[in-house]
Amino acid sequence: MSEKTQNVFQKYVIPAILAAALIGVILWAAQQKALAESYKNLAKESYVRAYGELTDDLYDMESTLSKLTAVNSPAQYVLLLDEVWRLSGSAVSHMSYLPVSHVDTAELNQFVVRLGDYAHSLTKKAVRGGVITEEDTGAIIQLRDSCAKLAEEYGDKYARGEVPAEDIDADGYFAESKPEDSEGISEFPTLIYDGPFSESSEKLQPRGLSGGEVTMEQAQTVASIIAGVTFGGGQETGGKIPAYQFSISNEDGTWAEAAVTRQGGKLLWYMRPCKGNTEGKPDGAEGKKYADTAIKKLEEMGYHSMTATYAQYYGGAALINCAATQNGVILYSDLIKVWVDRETNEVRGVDARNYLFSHTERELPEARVTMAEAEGYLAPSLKVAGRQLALIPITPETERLCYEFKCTLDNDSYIVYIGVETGEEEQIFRIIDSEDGQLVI
Amino acid sequence: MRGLNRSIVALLALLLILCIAVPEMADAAMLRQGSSGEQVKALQSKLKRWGYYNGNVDGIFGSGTAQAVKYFQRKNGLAADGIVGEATARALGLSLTGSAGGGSSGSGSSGGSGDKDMYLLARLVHGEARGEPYKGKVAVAAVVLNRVKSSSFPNSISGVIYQKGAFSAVSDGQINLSPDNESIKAARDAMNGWDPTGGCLYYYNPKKTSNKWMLSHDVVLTIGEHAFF
Repeated sequence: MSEKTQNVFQKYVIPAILAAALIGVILWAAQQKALAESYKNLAKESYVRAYGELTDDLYDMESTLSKLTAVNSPAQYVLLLDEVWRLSGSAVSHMSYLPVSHVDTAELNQFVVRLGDYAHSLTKKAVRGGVITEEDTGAIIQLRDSCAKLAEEYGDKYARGEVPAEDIDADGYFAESKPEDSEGISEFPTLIYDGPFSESSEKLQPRGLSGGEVTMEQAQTVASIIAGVTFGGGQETGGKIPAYQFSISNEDGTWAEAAVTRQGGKLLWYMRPCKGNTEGKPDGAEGKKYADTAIKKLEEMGYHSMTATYAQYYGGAALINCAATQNGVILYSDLIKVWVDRETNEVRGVDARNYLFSHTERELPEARVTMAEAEGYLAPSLKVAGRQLALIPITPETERLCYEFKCTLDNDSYIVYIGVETGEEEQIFRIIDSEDGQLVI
Repeated sequence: MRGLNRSIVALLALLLILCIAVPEMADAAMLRQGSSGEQVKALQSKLKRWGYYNGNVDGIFGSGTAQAVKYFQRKNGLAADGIVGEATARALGLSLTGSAGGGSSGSGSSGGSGDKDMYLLARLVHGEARGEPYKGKVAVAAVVLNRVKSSSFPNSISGVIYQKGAFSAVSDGQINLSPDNESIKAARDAMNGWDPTGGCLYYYNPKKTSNKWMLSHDVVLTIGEHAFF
C-alpha cells in the first residue's frame, strides 16, 4: 500500500464509513422507536377493546335480566337465563385481559361469576319443572339494578376514555365500585342458591372429622407410622382443615412430607418420591396389583369399605382413586387418592382431604325406578358394559343417588347416571383413554 | 497494515474452526435432522399432539420435524436451532439420556389435553419457586389451580397465570425459561390433586413484599420463603 492511498484511506474512506454507520444507527433507532410505539398502541387497543366489551356485557346482562322480570313462558325464561350465563362467562374473560391488578378485580369478578352461576342454577331448577319463587324474582331485580349501575359507570368512563390502559395508574380502578362484604350494607344482593361458586359452598365446613384436638407429638406419631419415616417437629397450619405439617429431607435427595388434622388426628396427606420413573399405562393385571396395594394400605389406616375407581399413571407412580362405599353404593365425594410406586409396589402417598371433608353416614333414598327401567331410559345407541349404584355430587351441597351405567358408543366410552328417584339423566361423563390412564371429563 | 491483514486472516480462520467444531462438540445425546428411531417418534408424536407438527410420526427426523422443533423452540423461549438438545428435551418432557432402544421409556410426559396447561404451570413454578423445597413448588402450582376454581379469578390456568400483576415471574419474563424436571413433576402432582396449602389463593415472600394488603392477612402456612393464605 503506497503512502498516497493510505492518505486517501485516512482522509475520506474512514470518515465516510463512520458517517454511514452513524446514519445507519440513527435510522435503526428511529425504526425501533416506531416499532415500540406500534406495539404499545397495539397493547393499548386490545385493553380498550376488552374494556369496551366488558361494558357491553354488563349492558347486555342488565337488559337480559330486565326481560327476565317480564317474561312468563318457561321456554323464554330458560333461554334468557342461559344468555345471562353466557354473558357472565364473556365478562369474566374480558376482565382478565385488562391491565388491572387481580386484587382489584377480585370482587367484581366474583359478582359476575356468581351472577352467572346463579342464573345457571335457576336454569337447572326450571328445566326440572321447578317453580320460580318470589325470592328468585326479587334477586333478579336486584341483580338487574346492580348491573345497570355498573354498566352506566363503566360506559361513562369508556366514553371519557378513562380506560385502564398503560397510561393510567390502574391500581384501585375497580375498587370504588366493588361489592361490599355480605356483612356490610351491600349494593349487591347475597344470592342464596346451591352452585359451585355460591357463597354457601365456599363456606362449607368439613364433615368427616370428629373428636378432640390432638397434640403435635400425637400427630407426629400418626404421620411417622403411616409414612414409614421418622418425622421431627412440625408446623401448625390453618385453613379449612387446621393441621400439623411435618417435613424431612435427606442428603440423598429423598424427602417426606405429611399433614395430620388437628381435630381427631387423622392423616390428611403424605407424600414421598417414587424410586422409579415408569410412564405409560400398565396392562390389566399390573393395574390391579397397584389397586390392591392401595386398598390394603387404606385397610391398615382404618378405612374399610373402600373401592378403587379410576387410575392415572405418571412419574413412576400409579395414582389410584379410591372411593368409600355404603351398602354397595359408591360415594364418589368421599375420595382418597393413593400413589403407588410402580417399581417397588409400595405406597408413596395418600391424600384423604376429600374424604375427611365430606364423609358421613348418608341417608340413601328409596329407589322408585328399577335398574332395568333406568337402563331403558338410556340413549338407544349406547351399549351398556357395567352397572352400579352410586351417590354422585351434583353441586357442592347436593348429592344424588343414581344408577351408574358404563357405556360404549362407537369407539368412545361414557358413564351415564340415571337418578333412582326420577329416572332422569343426572350426569354424563366421557372417558378418554390416554397413555396416562383414564381421564374423565 | 500488514499486521491488520494478518489478524483478519487469523480471525476468519478461528471463526471457520468454530463453525466446524461447535456442532461436533455438542453431538452428545441430542436429536437433529438425520436422527431416527423411537425417540424421534416420541418427539414427533408430542409435537403433533401440541399442534406444532403436521407430518407423519415415522421416526425419521427430516426437515418437517426440524421446522416443527424450531416452531416449538420459538414459542417456548428457547434458541430456535431445530436441534433437540438438553433444554429443548426438558421443555418437551422427553428424556434423551437412555438413548434409543430402551423400550418405551423415551417419553417422559403425560397425554391428554392437560399437557399444555401442565407445561405452562410448570414454567410458572420454575419462574416463581426455583429455589424452593419441592413442597413449596407444588404449593405454588396448587395456588394457581385453587384460583381457577375460585369465583374471584379467571376460570382457566392461562387466564390466572397471565392476569396482570398476579405473578412476578410473568412480569419479569422468568416464566419463559424452560422448566426443570422438578417443576414439571410439581405441576403434575398439583394437577393430580396434591394441595399442600389446603386451598390457599395467595402467597408472598415476607422478606420482599411491602404490600399492606398482603401483609394484612393471617398466614395459613409457610413453606420455604413463601407465606400462603
